[in-house]
Amino acid sequence: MIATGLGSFLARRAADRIGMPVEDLADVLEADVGTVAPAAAVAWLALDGVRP
Amino acid sequence: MTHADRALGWDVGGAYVKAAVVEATAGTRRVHGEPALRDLAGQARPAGRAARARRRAAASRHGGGDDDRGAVRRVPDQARGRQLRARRRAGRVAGAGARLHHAGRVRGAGRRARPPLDAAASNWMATAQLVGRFVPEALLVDIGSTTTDIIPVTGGRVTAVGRTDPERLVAGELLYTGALRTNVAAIVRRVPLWGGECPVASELFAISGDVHVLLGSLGTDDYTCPTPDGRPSHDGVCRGAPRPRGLRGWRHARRRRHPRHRGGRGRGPGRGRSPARSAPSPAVCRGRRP
Repeated sequence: MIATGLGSFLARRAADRIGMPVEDLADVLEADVGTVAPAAAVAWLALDGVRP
Repeated sequence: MTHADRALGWDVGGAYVKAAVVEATAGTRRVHGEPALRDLAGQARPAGRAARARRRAAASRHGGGDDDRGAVRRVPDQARGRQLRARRRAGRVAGAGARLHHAGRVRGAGRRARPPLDAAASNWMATAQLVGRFVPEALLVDIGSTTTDIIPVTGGRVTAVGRTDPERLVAGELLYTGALRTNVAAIVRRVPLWGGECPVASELFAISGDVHVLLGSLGTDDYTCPTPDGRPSHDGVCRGAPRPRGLRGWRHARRRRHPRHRGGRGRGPGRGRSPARSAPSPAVCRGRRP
């Protein structure tokens, strides 16, 4: 499970409860996206050259 | 490398406008972003933060955005509202152009306004697509202030069943439950009280943010939305202490059920004190911050 958002602590608890490995999105990206993951993702994809 | 060293992304929601700048420097990427709460007129606040994000991005050559599901709540014509907002944003940001749709496609500036509903509530797709680039097999769970997105990624591709909000709700990939703005009455029907279970009132007395601050899971700094009663969020922790929120008719219930008030002795000295002056229940105040 990849958890993100203001309530990511809830996702982590749920993953722990069912024994699913969980990782924070910030750790995956090695960048702190905080609570703006979708906006950061849009910018990230644009930076990677995802063009119209 | 990439086309530019900076890019700006927008996530326009009903409650929050989020802007993030991603900078590529020396093989790493840094993200600058802040959510800004919108007021009733639909303007972002605090303006300073949003303005800073715009200024950082003013020199960037790329910009993109999506419309979150809540963006349409305050305009009578949803499609028209999105068109207007997209035009305003494009006018403010130099070089803004691309717009992500919930099918995962990116549309250019020239076609921005044509299918506005296709770009609505598409923020989850951006995050999921990005996750798929790093983790081919994953379950992305994004629990925000208002909603929860549950998105499967298989083989690096987004394999969600739904695309629109209704489709995603039916598929269980979108839950209208968040860590901050959800009415407690929408989460639980009863709460333990005095050895029994007390039904909660279907009123906006407390939201999930109150619960998580009370339990210590969130700090008061994270409580970025207005409180139900308009009082400061740090008071919110104790709103439920002398007067448990969500308990309609709690004064009468307390007198009837609590052993101290049984026997109908009426109001005398030291009795029938206003519960607001009484010592808060330890159970209710558990986790209260100083």
